[in-house]
Order: sequence, then C-alpha cells, then structure tokens
Amino acid sequence: MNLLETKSLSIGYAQQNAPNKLLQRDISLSIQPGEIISLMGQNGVGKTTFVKTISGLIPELGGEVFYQNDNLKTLDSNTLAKRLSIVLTEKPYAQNLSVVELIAIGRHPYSGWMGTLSKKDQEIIDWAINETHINYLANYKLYELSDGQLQKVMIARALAQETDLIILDEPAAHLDLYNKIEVMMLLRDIARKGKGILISTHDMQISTQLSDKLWLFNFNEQVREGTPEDLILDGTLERTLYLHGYGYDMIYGTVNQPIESPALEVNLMGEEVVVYWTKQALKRNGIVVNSDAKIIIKCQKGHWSVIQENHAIDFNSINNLLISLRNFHQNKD
Amino acid sequence: MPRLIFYISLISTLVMLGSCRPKSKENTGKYVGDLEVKYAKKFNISEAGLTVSEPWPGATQSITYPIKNDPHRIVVTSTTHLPYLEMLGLEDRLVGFPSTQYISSEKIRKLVEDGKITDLGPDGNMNLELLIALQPDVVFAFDMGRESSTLDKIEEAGIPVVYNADYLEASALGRAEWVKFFGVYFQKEQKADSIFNHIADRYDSLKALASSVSKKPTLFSGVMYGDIWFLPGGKNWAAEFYQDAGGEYLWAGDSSTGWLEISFESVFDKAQLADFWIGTSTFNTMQELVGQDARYGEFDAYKNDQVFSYNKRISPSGGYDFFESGYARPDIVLADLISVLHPELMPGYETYYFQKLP
Amino acid sequence: MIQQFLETSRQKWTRVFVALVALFLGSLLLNISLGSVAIGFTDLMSFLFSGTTNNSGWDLILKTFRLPKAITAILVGSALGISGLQMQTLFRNPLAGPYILGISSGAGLGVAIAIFLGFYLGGFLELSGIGRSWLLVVAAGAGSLGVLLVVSLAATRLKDSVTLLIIGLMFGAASGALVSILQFFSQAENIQAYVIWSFGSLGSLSWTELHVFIPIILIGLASSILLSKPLNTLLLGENYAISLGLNLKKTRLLIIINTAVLAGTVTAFCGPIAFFGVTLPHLTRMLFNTSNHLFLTPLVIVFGAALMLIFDTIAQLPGMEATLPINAVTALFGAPFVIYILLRKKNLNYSFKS
Repeated sequence: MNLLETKSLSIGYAQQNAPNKLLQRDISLSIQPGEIISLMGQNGVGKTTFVKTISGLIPELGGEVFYQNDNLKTLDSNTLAKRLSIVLTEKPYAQNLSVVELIAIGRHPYSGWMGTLSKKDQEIIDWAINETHINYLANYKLYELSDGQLQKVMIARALAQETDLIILDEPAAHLDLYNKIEVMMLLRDIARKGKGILISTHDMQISTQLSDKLWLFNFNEQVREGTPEDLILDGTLERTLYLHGYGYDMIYGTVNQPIESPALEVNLMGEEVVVYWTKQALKRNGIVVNSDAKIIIKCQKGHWSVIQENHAIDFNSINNLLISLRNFHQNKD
Repeated sequence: MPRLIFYISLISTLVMLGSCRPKSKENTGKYVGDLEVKYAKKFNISEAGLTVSEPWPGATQSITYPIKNDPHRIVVTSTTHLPYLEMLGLEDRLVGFPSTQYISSEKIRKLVEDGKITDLGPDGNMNLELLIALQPDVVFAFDMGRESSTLDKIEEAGIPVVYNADYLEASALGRAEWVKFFGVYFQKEQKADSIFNHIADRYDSLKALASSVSKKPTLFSGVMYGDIWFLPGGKNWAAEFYQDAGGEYLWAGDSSTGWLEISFESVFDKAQLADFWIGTSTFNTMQELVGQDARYGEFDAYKNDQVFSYNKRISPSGGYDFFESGYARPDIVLADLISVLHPELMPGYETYYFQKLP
Repeated sequence: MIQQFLETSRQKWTRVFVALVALFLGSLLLNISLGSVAIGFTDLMSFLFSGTTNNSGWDLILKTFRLPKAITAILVGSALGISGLQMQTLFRNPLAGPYILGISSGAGLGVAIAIFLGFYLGGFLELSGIGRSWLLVVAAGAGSLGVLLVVSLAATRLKDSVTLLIIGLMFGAASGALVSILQFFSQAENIQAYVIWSFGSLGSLSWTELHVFIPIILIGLASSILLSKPLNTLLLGENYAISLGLNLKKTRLLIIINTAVLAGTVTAFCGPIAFFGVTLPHLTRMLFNTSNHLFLTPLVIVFGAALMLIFDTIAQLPGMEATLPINAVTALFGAPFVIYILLRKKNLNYSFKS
C-alpha cells in the first residue's frame, strides 16, 4: 500500500494581484514502505514547496495527495500528525530542554492533555532512543550536544511520533563525515524496518548511495523518477542538476579536469582499490588512462611500478609518482 | 540685559512724569517706605521697588520689580491671584486667564461670560498667540521649576512678567500678606495695608480665643490615592490652621512644609480614634468616601459623623472656592475651623468654606 | 530507560516543589507580619489561629489591609508571571511580557478617559452611586478588552506571529500618545490621580472587589496549566508544532486570550505593574534550569507569588511611615535584571535560540 501518493499534483504559490505561480504540474508519484527516496533539483525549482504541499502547510494548486488512501484534505491535523513526521534543519528554539523531554514532545499527538505519558508512550520513546543509539545522551541538555548528536536526537523525536512516513530536509548538512555516515546508516536501518523516507537534498552521496529512487525536479519539465543509476546513465541527473560543462564524470560521479592535448596516456593494472584511486589522481593531473597506452603502471598498496619499454621505475607513493610523471611529460616536449 | 534697559527707561520715564501727577499721590514715596512686611518671607518692599526673594523654588537670585505702575490690561495665571485683584477693585483690568472654567469668583465669572476675559488654555501650556494678541501691560505668573519657556517667550515679546511666589509662603498670614504686593504694584498700598491689617487683627483675636480652651480635640486629614495616604506635613500651611484653631493635629510633630505620603496602616494606627477628620480632598460626601474604600468607615471620626471638608462652595464647573480665595482670607478659614472644633466658642456662626460632609 | 529518567526526574522535582512551597509560605508570613505598624509575632499567631490579636486596631489592619494585600500580591505575582511566560514562548522573544500586546496601554487609555474627561473627580459619580474604585476597574477593563478584541481579530487572520507583535507595540504607542493628549488638557489633580494609578497598587482592593478578582485569576491560572502542553510543543518552533498536529491559529488565540484575561484583570484592579512579567519567567528558567512548561507553569505560579510577596514587603518599608509604590520596587529590581540577562547572553541562548 502506498504510504504517500500524489495524483496529478500541481504545486506553486499564490501571488498578490496576479495569477498563481505554478512551479510544478501533474506530479504523480508514490512512496512504499521501506523505500528511501531523494528529492533533488536546483534551488527554486519547487522542492520546498512540494514538501510543504504534501505536509498540508500550503494548499495544492491542482490534483490530490493521499496518505494510505486517505485524501489529505479529509485528514485533521492530529491524524495527519500520526501519518507524517518531519526533520528540518532548524534547531529547536529552547536549548535547555533535555534530550528526553524533546523526544517526549514527539508524542504530542498521543499524550494526555497535560502531556502525561502512558506506558505505551514511554515504550515508544525508549524504542526511538534505542534505534538511534543515543541512550548515553538521554540526560543531556540540547545545548550540550554536537551537531551530529542533535541531528540524531531530532530523528529520534520524529521516530517517537510513530509515523510510517518521515520527511527530512538536508539531514546531513553541516555534519562532519563521520556523523553523516552515521545518519545515513540510521536512515537505511529505519527504512529496512518498514518506514518510508523522503529526503530533500543536494548531497550526491545520499542520493546515489542511499536512495532507492530519485525524484528529479527541473524548470519547465515534468518530474522524473527512477533509480539513481538509471538516471545517471541516461543523463537525466546531469541535466536536471545542470552539471554538464563541468566535466562531470557520469560513471564515477566525479568532476573531471579539462584535458590538454597532447595528454600523457598510461595503462593501469593491479589491485582494484589502488587502481581506482591512482586513476583519480592521474585524472586530476590531466593524465588519461587508456588500456592501449604504451606506459603501464602496476599498482599495489604502497608500491607503484612504472614500466616503459622494459624500464621499470618504482615509487612508494602516488605523490612521488605524480611528480615524476609530470617531469617526464614536460621533458618529452 | 535688554530687560534691565527696559526697566531703567521705564523708571526714568515715570520719574519724569512724576511731576505731572496729581497732588493726592505726592506722599506715595514716603508711604511705601513705611510699609512693613511682617509675615510674608518671599517678598519685600523698599524704595528700590518690590523684591521677590525667591521668584521660583530654588532660585538663587531675587528679582526687584518697579513700583508706581498703572497697568490697565493684566493677565494673571493662577486662581489664587484673583482674590487680591478683587479685594483691590482691580478685577475689571483682567483681560486674560488660563482655563477660565475653574474660576470660583462670581464677579470674575460674569466678566468671562461677558467676553471681557479671554481664555488662554491650560496654564501649563498657555496659548502664546492669544496672549500676545491681547497686548497686556503685565503678566503675573508662577513658575514651579524655572522650566517654562512660555514665560521667556512672553518677555521676549516685550511684555513684562512678574513672578509670584505667594504659593511658597509657609504661613497663613504670610500668604495673605501678598495683597500688599499687589497693592504696592498697582499703587493702592493704602487700601492693601488696611485690608491686610483687618485680616491679621481678626486672625490674631480668633487665635487668642481658641487658645483659651482646655481640651484640644485630635484630628487628621487627607485621603488615599492608590496605596498612599496624602496628608499635610507638620509645618504645612494647613497644619498651622489646625493648631491655631485649638485642635491637636496628629502629625504636628512632623517638620516638613509639604505633603506626607504614608501607608494606610500608619494613618489608621495613629488616627483610628481621632475626634475629627478634616479635609477630604475631592470627596464630597460620606458615601463617596466609602465608595472609594470601605476602610474609611472604620475610623471613629467617620462613625461619629465628624468628617468635615472645604467643599461648601463649589463652582458649577467643580472648582473649589477654598483653593481660590481661602489663601487670601485666613481669618475666615480660622473662624470656620474654630467653629468646627469648638462650636461653643462661636455660637451662631455660619461657616463659609467648611461643612460637615453630607 | 525513560522510566528511570521519569523516576529520578519526579524525585528531583518533588524536592524542588517542597522547597518552593516552603519559600512561598515563608514569604507570606513575612509579608503579613511586616508593615509600617509593628505587630508582634505572637500577636500575629494568635490572629491566625483565633482570629484576633486583642487589639481592635491591629485586627482591623490585619483583616482589612494586610490580608487582602497579601492575597492580591499572590494572585498578581502568579498571573503576571504566567502571562509573561506565555508571551515569551509564543513570540520566541526574551523581552516579551504580559503587556506586549498593548494590554496595559489599553487599560491606561480607559482610565485616562475616565479621569481626564471628568468622570472620576466630579459630580457624575455622586449621582450614579458607583464607587470611584469600581469606575477605574471598569474603565481599565474595558480598555484591555478593546485591545484584546482587535488583537484577537488580527491573530485569526495573520499567519505570522511577528506581525502580531508589532500590532501590539503600535497599540501601545497609539494609546500612550492619546493619554498624553488627554493629560495635556487636564487639571493638576486629574493628572495626579492618573499618575498615582499608574504607580500600581496592591493594597487597595476591598473584600468586595476581591470576590470578583480572585475567581477570574484562578480561572485564568487553571487555563494556563491546560495550555502547558501546546506551549511545550511550540518550543520546537512553529513548523514542527504544526507537523505535530497543533492547530496554530487556535492555540495562538487561546494563549492570547488567556494572557489578556490575566494581565488585563490585574491591570484593571491594580494598575500597571511593570517588569515583573518579563523578569520572573527568566528568573524561573535560569534558577530551575528548565524550559519544560509542564514544570515551568507550576513553578512560575508558586515562585511568582512568593516573589511578589517579597517585593510587596519591601515596598511597605517596614518600620517607616512612608511607603513605596509597588512599581518602584519591581522596576528597581527588574530593570537591572533585564540588563543582566542581555549581558549574560550565554545563558539566554539556552532558552532562546538567537
């Protein structure tokens, strides 16, 4: 069953003394339990408007939104709160709440009129804390947390809201790599256990490695949907993100340096990981990797051998390899 | 500097014209020299002129005004100035006054109604244009803190301003003696002197009468505003009356000349059993008092119906005559108070300002 | 594990509350026993237990003055504290207070109209038989109500809380200007009466007035306890609050009405009392280190009552005949405290994200 389904949804906003500004039209998409979907597109293309529309914060300009087959328009705010929770980039405004107090606020749609927590409420809160592995943070005040810790706490709060669908806005922004990976793993975990996750992001790692599907928004174009790899290979991703012309490597997801000709060409062999990173370094320096090249570099961890016409020169680091290759190339001319 | 020049030329002109004056005023100079100021502390009379020693509160220098004036168009700025004019028969020279609706004097109200006196607006912010357009010969003013730029502007326009400090007098007779100030200014010294002597003599004999009693009833005064009870200090103008009328004012020991701000508790503790309650500000009936605060009803003076105030004469617009002419007639005030506190001393006397609260 | 957290939390807060209630009772006792007139402790005890001190004068002072004043102080302290707390949370502004929507300005305007247009001191009242103090209550109440109506109307139409704030401030400015105009054309004793009203007074309520005052404030305080949960949810910010199912417009309206009733009633009966509503929530938040309204609400109610009792005791200048207006004391302690808050921004950041 679809956690969320839009039927010919058109989004935009009302303007004073002018007809409505339409940002996207005829969107028909859905999210299944267990799916992680990334919403991508240039700034201004309508991502935030889309999220606000499906959250019920602003009215749609056409079409319909369904939560588990219930039309959004028929749902009161309390019921909607039990279907959908959000995680934003804004920090909660009172920083001297404790972590547990914050998460408990996530039980708002369920708790008693004085905020009293039933047994069930307490169980869910415990579960949310366990899922996000923040047990050790429970008694901390929000102002004592690092960005990464706070993000996990905010996710725990959304979990405590016990919804099937969670929408996150740039969940990994401002996080260092370690925390970002933790958050990504957490989201994957949550999805595996049956929830649907929609992420609005600019981050390529999240969209290409974590997501089951991408929804790509563009100006004056229909929304495109598909697995990340399909969209990369058919060039849609590059196009909607306006990456062409930047030497974006569609295969490796990296940005290329412009190549000057004539370029030095080499062939690489050896351990897969070492070959990969050596190739990155060579590309950055304008050196082309070609299996027909005369110069062969054998790549092993800690040891590179450049073989040319039966001569072999050894290097113990890519740095030294590069220096030598650069000199060699210059001298040739 | 320009003011000094102005006054010097004025005086010289008057001296020159002095020879043309009718004979009856020939003795004026000598008479002024004889005129004594016995009670008032804030002004003095000498050959040099009328000196106001403290023209405004905290003034460091006195001002001397010339005598032998004969202005025909005058403006005064306080209702307390009006009785002096009326006593000296000068009220028809009044051409302007601020907030005329608060005037109690019937004669002067009639002049206002006849359009002879122009209303100049609130006294704190008088309408300068109207005032200057009137072209008065002199303005009698008071300035509580020397902040009034209005008065400066009037002087700039060439109209002389005379600062009255009558309200700074602490004694009853001192205040009443200001009739002499006006008398000397308008060259009616004789009349002023005789009026004041009459008042002073009457006051003294009444005071002597009251001092003959053996038993002095206790009394208190004032009302609460918010949480604070306002009543006259021990050396206040009002307190002096209470003592002179043969009463024992419960705060007579206090040394301030102004008003005290005290808690309800303190007043109640001291005055719960007092014989009289005199002076209830703007409350004119017993009902109004307890309507404001039921606790007033707990005072013995209230329970025994011995509450008096100065509200016998109120103008249609709510002005109390007591605050207008009371300062000029301390003898009447004293007589009223004695008849309240010791009715046996004044049989058949009908009070003028004070009455028992209905 | 949250079970454990709740358990320790419950224990801690129980201790805190017991201490706070002790403080409250202590300040109540202090307030009743100190004043311009020295009434001994044993006499006070005999009054509390047997109803009399054997001195009719003292009995009267205790019964008609100190006791009603203490009750007033308790209710005023709680009411202003709570409405200040609600305004600070709703508008996410540390400088907000009960009067930020213009309530006291409206009340002041009502009173100014009553006084300066001659209804207060003058013949009109003698005919109607209405006590003067009730006139002020009604005038101030009407003024507050007027402001409340306009602000509520605006609240139902506006999405943005900041705009509402500005409307309130503009109201304050406009009312203040109108009052100045009225003052300008008035006589000295009217001006004095108005100025004295604006000093605020806790001691002038009669038992009849208290019969109206007490129930209104108690209802207001009870409602504010019911509003604790939505206020907590608002602590996350408006977007999160809506996503949690909170009806923002309705909640905002209820909070505004609750505040207006509490602050407006206090102002109507006691005049405007400055600073207290702004400083007390901060003091409570900082002393007890919590932003959780489920605790903060009862804390503010009890602590507000206790503190106002203490301020009132100071204002009475015990032992001296003179007495200070309550506003003088709250401002004297309040203003430096606001400066202190701003300088110690470090602490403020914990309650208000900047």
